Amino acid sequence: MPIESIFLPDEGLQGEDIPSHIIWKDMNYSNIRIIFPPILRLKEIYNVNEDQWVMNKNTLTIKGVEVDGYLGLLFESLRSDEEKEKYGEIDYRFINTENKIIFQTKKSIRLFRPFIFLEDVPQSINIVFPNKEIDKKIKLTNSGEGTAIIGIETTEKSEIRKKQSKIVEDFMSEFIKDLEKEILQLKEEFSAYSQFLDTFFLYEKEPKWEIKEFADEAEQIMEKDKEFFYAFAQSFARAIMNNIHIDTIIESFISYLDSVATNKILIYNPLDVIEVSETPKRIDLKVLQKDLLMKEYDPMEIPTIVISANMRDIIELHRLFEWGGSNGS
Amino acid sequence: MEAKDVSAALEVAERIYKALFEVSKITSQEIRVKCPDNIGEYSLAFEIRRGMLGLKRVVKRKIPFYHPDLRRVSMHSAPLMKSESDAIVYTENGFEILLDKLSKDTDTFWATIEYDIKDKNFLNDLVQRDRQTESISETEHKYWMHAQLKNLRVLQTNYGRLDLQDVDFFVDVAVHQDVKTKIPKPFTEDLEIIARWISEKEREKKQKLSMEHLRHQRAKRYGGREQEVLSDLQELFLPDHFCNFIDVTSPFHYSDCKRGPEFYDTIPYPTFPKAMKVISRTDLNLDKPASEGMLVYKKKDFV
Repeated sequence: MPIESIFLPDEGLQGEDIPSHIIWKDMNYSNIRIIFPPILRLKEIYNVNEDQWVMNKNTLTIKGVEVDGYLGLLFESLRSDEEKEKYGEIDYRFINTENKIIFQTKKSIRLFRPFIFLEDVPQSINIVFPNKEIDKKIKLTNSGEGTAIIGIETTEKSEIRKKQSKIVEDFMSEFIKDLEKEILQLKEEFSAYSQFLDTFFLYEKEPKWEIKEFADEAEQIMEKDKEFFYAFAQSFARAIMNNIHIDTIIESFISYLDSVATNKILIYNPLDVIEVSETPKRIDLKVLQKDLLMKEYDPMEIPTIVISANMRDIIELHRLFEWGGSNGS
Repeated sequence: MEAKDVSAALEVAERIYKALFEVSKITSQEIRVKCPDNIGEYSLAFEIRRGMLGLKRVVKRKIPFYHPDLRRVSMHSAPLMKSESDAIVYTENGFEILLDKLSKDTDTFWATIEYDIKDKNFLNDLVQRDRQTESISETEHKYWMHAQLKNLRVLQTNYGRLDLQDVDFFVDVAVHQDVKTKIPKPFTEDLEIIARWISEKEREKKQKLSMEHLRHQRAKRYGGREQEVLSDLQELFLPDHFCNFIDVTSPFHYSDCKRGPEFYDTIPYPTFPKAMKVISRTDLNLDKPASEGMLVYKKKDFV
């Protein structure tokens, strides 16, 4: 068999890079033709000179490779706004000088994604404390196979605004004070990293939804300068240890469990709470969503809901939700 | 699709080749890159020139190899593979081979020279690494891994073929949902009471919560051991424990695992990881320009 290895993964998350390769021996061919589905876009070709390949719609024709016996490919899989899963097939062909197919094989791939939708939204919600009994809930379902990471936010026009839980709020305010002092000292010692330290402090003070780029930069700096890394880690640990208590640990543990709403929905901000009272008030919510590639999907606006309770108290925002669908628990 | 070069891995080899070429005939050579440490290992067999050219050996008493990235050298003589370490002298800038100290009963030697590859992007420029971000199967989670060379031609160097050894792969194995499955519901309920008790300022309410907590403690077998249970749960994510639930298929092999990013990353202290970072490795070379493997997380055994 002249083909030694041919690879295409059988599944992947929409938006993920999809690699493929063919390795062969003693194949007398004139060109290689790769026909790929519209859900994939060619990103890279390996072991082929620039002038040795042409693209015509979704067909890639390779006249020759640099070192015989190997062709490497990298595709970008495209996200679909409408479909929660998509199937595609790649057709690999070796063609001889007489334009006849001397080898052909097909490989298929399934691309999935999270697919969140609102199943039910009550017009009003009533909460009974102390057991936090809620008469009607907002039903959110992920019918896709991909995990959805969601953040629940109150909008600008909302009468009720979300805030952090008291324990975490207290922890954060004390921690930020200590961290500021530590950062000042670090800046004196490692002035070259002043800008980085300022940005880091800003991120800690006001955690952002988008942090990946900064995290990459941080990783590079820490990798490069071990002395700075150890000093930085010590300062950070000191600021945490001075302020962490058993209550913060327990609270965050409970929130961790709450954050795993179902198999396929993770709540990004399970510690956020709202204050409710006997006076009915409007709440306007939006759900931010991203997948495990950390790529965002369009936020979902939830129609206005009126909330009241038997007494003034706080409740975690995510408790207003229930999770439907076959993935639900 | 731009061709990347491997000059970072060849610079030292080139210097060594030139120095040895003056006094010997190089009969075989290869470069191996130890990827985890970004170390190049240049191995070569050579025959010291005797006879007319042997004059050089008289004139030139040592072969200097000066380069800041050199780490260590080992040398043996053929056919008995006798160590020739006496002929090697380390200097501030590198090392020297003292020709007079080499065994006189043979002309054939084998040297291996290790050096640092300073270009940290060397491997990324040469190898495309992809892995599955999310696995969806029920009983065990499978993650495909794939490594392929971006440029095969550059591995055919003037200094022998270049092999990449132990190319590393980092796969985030999702564990967040499994922690939830492992924790009994009454335990969580009791923790919630404790949390409410801590934050409650009113005396009467605090007393009520104390009673509720006591009732829970009497009813449950882990009563009063909440901290212990929390600590046991953390141990699940120690690499020595977690590695028992991981299988990596050939030609990849398991190397290590570590605690991945925390689930709740907007607070700075550790809670529980959303994933474990599993490190696997594979080799790539001219004969094997691409490698595919599977990492299996035996989720059912873990939970």
